[in-house]
Amino acid sequence: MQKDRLEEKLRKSLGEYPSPMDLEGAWSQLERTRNKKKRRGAWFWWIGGVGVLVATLGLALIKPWGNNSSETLATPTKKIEETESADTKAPEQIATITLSDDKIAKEMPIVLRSVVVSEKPLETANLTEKSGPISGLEHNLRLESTSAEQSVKSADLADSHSIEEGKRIGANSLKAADRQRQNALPSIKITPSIHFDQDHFDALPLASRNYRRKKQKQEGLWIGFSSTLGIQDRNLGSTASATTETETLLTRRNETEESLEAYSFSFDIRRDFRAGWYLQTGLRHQIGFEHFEDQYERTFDKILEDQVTEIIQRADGSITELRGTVTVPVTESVQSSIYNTQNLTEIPILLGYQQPLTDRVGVDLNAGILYGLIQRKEGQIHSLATEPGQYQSLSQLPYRRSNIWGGQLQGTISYQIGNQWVAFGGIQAKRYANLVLADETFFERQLVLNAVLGIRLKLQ
Amino acid sequence: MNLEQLVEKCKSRSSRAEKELFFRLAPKVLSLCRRYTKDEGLAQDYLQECFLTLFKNIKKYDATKGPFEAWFYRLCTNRILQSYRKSRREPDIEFRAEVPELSLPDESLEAISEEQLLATIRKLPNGYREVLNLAVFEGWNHKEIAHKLGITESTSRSQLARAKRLLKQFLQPLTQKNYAKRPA
Repeated sequence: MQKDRLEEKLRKSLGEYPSPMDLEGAWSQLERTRNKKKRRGAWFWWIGGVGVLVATLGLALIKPWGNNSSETLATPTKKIEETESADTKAPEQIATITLSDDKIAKEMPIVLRSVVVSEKPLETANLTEKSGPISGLEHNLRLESTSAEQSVKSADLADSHSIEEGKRIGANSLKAADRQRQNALPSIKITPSIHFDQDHFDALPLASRNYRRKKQKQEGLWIGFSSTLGIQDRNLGSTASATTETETLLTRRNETEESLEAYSFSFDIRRDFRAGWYLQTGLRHQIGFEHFEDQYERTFDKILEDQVTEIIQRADGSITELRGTVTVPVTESVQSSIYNTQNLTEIPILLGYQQPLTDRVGVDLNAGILYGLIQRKEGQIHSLATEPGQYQSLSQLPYRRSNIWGGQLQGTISYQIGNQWVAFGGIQAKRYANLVLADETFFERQLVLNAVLGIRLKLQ
Repeated sequence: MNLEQLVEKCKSRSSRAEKELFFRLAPKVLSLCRRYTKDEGLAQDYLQECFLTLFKNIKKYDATKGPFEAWFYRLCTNRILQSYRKSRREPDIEFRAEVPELSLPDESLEAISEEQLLATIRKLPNGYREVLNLAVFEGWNHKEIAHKLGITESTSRSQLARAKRLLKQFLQPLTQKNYAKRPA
């Protein structure tokens, strides 16, 4: 029964027991956490969006539409994977190609490899015996080269097989040029009535090169809109202290604050010059949300009025108190949770370079200077002070400048949509100069890292 | 406004209703959180997580399936256990020595205050405390506890028995002190 008594006591006493707590404080803390999580949610969507964009662009880079892949692929495996799509759009002039007998010997090792790998020695025999026009074998060749990856992997094996069988014909070294030619072969559309000619055969990769569109690297004037989302880090001097108008000595103890989240919108004008260089300017507005814990310590002269300044004791024993104003040095320590909003309007002047990667995809890199106006709007402050009293956040202090200089470095990947529109996304880093006036003994710099997403329109 | 009405308003994302619900339930939920951890800061964190989870999932609450408070406390318990296992900030002290069975007079138990009782529970080793909380306060059976904590049913039983023995040992000096202090 003792056990039950204990359980009963526990349930009765603690089952519905309300712990004493600061409800208002806990609620505001909960609100802050919720807001933070909401902002983190926004982050997730932004990063997700950029990720999707990068993936799309990456996909476009790896597998571009059109028929432009025959000249550049480095490994045979990749090459042959692409031949299926390539052969459907082969240049028409190839249709008349014929291959003379003496040339067949030169190209034959390629055929052999395909045949041996696909384990059809019967057809190999046919092929070697038949040194005439290749047209009769074309279907076999097409069939055998379907397992393209396999054929490349075992090319050396094929060579050794053919040596053993004494059927090695011509030079069969696997030099890069041979490999290219070998890889080009399956991309030829062959019909029974076609004959091959070596000159045309050699010209094949070049012919397909003509299918490559010209890369965009031309002059033009663009207008654009972009937005960014990122984090901001405020770097403060370690011996941060300042004297304000009221002769208050302020000491800041923390050195970095990393909680500023910022987003911006930007309208840009860009002029492209020859050889990929461009100049860009525009107008950008950035809004930052800042939350940081801060600890200040300030010493100031507190003026106390109507205080006893002197006591005069006379010989007759009477005492006279002299009263007046007394100045007492007071040190106040304040720990605050500060929520600020920072508005920044700036003009970037940027020099950039663009490098096309394919006909639609390119990379842009730009760097330059930023000049703008900054305004910090004071938000909610929760302070725990050793001395009760009002305390102002940094926005009210006169040592902060309202104009701001900075530098920017930005790297983006661009994707051309149609003839006039280009979408881009990438990373932007901005660093601002000291925000504190030069005659102060401490500094405050800001570093911003952003994800950028934007679009621009070609005007001319 | 009764609790059910308040919950309905919370479902439609009324921040005023959410605040009122928080003010009404937070002290009790804080007690629940404090029962699971020795660390006051961690208890506050759990409290926040419980309410964040509540506001996120409040639409899932179905009034036809039972009272709101029971659903919410179950939600809180699961959340706390989940967070607790993730953080594991507190070192787990194992009491290997056998604790003797003590008998406490019924009257002496009555003299112990809620805060004293709570403080005593928080002194228990983590494993004991978890099982005690789940079995005594949440009313879970040993099968459920074993499943939730990843232990066997017999471990759950023995941990509960040891937890109670240890609790009595911790409570004994308090009962003597309080018993002596009670008014004549």
